[in-house]
Formats: sequence, C-alpha cells, structure tokens
Amino acid sequence: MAAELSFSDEIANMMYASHGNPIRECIQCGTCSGTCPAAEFMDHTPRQIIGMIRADLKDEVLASNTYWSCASCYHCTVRCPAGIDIADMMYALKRYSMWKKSYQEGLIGPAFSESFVKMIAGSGRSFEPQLAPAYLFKYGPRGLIQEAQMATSLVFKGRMPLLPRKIKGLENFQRMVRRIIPIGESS
Amino acid sequence: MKQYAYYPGCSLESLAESYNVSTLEVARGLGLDLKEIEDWNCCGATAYFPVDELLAYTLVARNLAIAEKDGASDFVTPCSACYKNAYFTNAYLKRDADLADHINYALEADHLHINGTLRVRHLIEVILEDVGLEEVKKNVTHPLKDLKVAPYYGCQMLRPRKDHENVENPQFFEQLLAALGADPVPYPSKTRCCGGSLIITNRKAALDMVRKLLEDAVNHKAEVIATTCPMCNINLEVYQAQVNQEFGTQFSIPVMYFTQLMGVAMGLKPKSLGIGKEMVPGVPLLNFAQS
Repeated sequence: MAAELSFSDEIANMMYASHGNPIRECIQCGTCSGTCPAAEFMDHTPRQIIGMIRADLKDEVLASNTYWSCASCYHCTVRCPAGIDIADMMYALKRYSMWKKSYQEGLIGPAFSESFVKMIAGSGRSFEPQLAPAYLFKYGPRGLIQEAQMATSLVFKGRMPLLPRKIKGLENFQRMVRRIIPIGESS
Repeated sequence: MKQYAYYPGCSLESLAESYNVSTLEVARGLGLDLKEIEDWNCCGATAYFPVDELLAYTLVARNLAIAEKDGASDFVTPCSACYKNAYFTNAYLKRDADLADHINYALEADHLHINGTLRVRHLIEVILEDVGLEEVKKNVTHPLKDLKVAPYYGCQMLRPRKDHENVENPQFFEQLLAALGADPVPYPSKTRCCGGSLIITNRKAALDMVRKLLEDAVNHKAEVIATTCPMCNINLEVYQAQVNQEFGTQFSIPVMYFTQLMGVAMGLKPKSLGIGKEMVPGVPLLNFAQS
C-alpha cells in the first residue's frame, strides 16, 4: 500500500538530474534568496518557497509567481551549500504547474513555453514573430507600441527575418517528437 | 585543419546574425574549420524544460546525433544557452543508460542514434584551448589599444558548473581581451544574469536586471560591453532603449560580440563581422577597424 507522497517528494521526483530528495537537505540559510537577481520580483523568495514546499503548502506554492520568475541563471544552484539544484527545482515546479494547470493567472511564462514547444514541433526552428501573439496582448497599449517600434527598427537593420524557417527532414522530426509527447496536426 | 561540428542556434539566424558571420570569419582567420550541422533543429533554450524534460533532452540529442553520424568528435556553439543544453544532454545520457535508451527510441524515428561520444564546448573555450592566447596574439594586426571593455560572461556558459571551473570569478574572458590589446575593466556584475527569456515573460524584472548590468559597466568606465551569448547581447543591446524609457536613464553603451572584437583586432573588415547592425552603434570599436 503506497503512502501518499509529500509535495516535496512529488517535486523531487520531477528533478531528473538529482537523486533522492535534495529539497530535504535545505538548511534555510537564504544564500539562494540573496543571490537571486529576480528575488525582488517574486511573491516569495527561493528560500521561502523551499520552506513552503517542505511544509506541504502545495496550493500556496503553486499560486506563487516565484518559480515562473526564475530566469534559469543557476546562480543559486552553484552557491547552495546543501548542493540543491534550485534552478532545476524551479523547472520541476514549472512542469508540475503545467501538468496540473495550476499556475497563477495572468503569467506569460506558461503560455510562452507552450507556444514555443508547439512552434518547434511544427517547424523544428524558432521564429520570433510567430511567438508574439501568445503574450503581446498582455503588455498593454504602451508595451505594444514599444514592441512595435523595436520590431520596426530591427527589420530596418536587417535583423528580423520575415519568413519562418523550417527544417528539411520535418516529417521524421515530427515522428521523433511524437514518440515522446502527443502532438496534434502539425500547424 | 581540425574540423568541428558547428551549431549556430536559432538566434544566430535572425537577431544575432552578426554573431554568426563574425564567428565564421574569425574561425577562418584562426584556422578552425567549422562545419555546420546538417538540418539542425532548435535546442529549446529555456522554453522546453517547463513542458517536458525528456523532450528537451531529445531535441538537443538530435543535433548531437547528426554530428556523431557525420563523424565529428567536437561540437562547438557560440550560444551559451545552446551550449548548456548540449553539454548536459551529452553528459546525462552518457552516465544514464536508461535515459539514453529513451532518447534513442525517439531518435530511431528520425533514423538517428546517439552514443555520447562528442566533446561539447562553447566557442570561446575552443578558441582558448585549441588555438591559445599566444596564437591569438600573433593574429592581432590592429590592437584594441586602451579600449575599455566590460567582459560580460553571463550565466549559462559558466553555470551550472560543468567541471571544476571557477564560476565565481573567472578570468579567461579578461585574458582574451587583453590578448587583443584591449583593457578589460573590473566588472563585478560580469556573471550576473541578464534576465534571459524573462524579457518576454516578465518584462519588468528583466529590464531591471539589464539596467543594473548597464549601470555597473558605465560606472566602471567601460566603453563597450563584450558578450559571449546572443541572448545576453539582445537583452543588453536591443532593450537598452526600453530601459531608458522605463527608468529615465540615458544609457548608450555599445554591446558587441567577443568575435566582433577579435575580428577587428585581426584586421578583418567591420562589415564582414556584421558591424553596423547595432541599435547602439559600435563607434569605440570602429575606431580601431581597418579602414
């Protein structure tokens, strides 16, 4: 009879490169929070989030913008005295929240990641303008104008491609992707 | 001439095309034979991992497998995010037979197989290790004398730790700049994050991170910020105007790829290095260029 997993174990299970449950090793020193360049924009600092995971405050953790504010710079990871790959733990939280569709409303991160994966599954290559609709409307009128100005100057400088690229062996590529995740009609 | 499987990555086909052309020009000048990987796909940067980890590794593995099939022994990329993804995918599948099996099951659908035999490095490592500073110096015809440069390492070239390298205070970028005749300034923020994809997903946070990096470079009297990654370059350069709008600052500091600095010092024509497409003109560097 399997006991129900703690939230901490669930997240640790989603951290491929770590073994066992590294989250348990945290000594709450706060080196991660002091190091994180995005900490001031997070609802809870990385140290707090780890504490909350260990206290099984699943709903509060998932509702926080913290893990979607992680830029994956791994500064916390290389400094953690307990050897926790904290940036990878943030990825695990992102995956968990995508899986359960339980992230904070209004965040751009989940929509961005999803449209990115769809784009790659569809063409094999990244193409910036194709991503825009997923998040542009969230910037508000001022942000839209800034974005349009920037895009115009980039096109003018010959830095913005106007046509998407595709890989040649797309059919086999998509068969490969389908062996891992189900993708619908490639669009 | 030693051949390298070359992975430019998606940014180098669009916003960072200058990084691609300057890489190819400098490599040619230094006798490095970069052979672009046939029909490569996007490495996913930081955007696949939130969705599916196995997919993220597999997409990277496809590029490595194509290079292996072509008989390559070395994989090189100028993009720090591509480098980090390629390095760790290669390392993980080598140590974990189960992961390798899963990846190979998917690759089979594309008639590929990966063994993990490649040596994966960032372009700057290949230049420092396989060419060496002495050889670089010999190629300098237009020394960047007294040009004050902030060496910006960024994140993923250094982190997470790959081996035993110095992740807190690396010096190799300063050494390379000094070999070009330039004057690398102390830059305490040199390994601090530029915000990466937060520039799209959390604009406010990213612009603040970029502001701090620009401020630190200007405070240390840098005339140019040198970068080793297209994402870093785009955030610091293309978004400089938005930082100024948001914070009422007046930054106007050129941000150039390290390959562009190398190329100018090696007497290559600025245009062939993609110089001239900046949003903030690279004037201080152009002063040294072959006329």
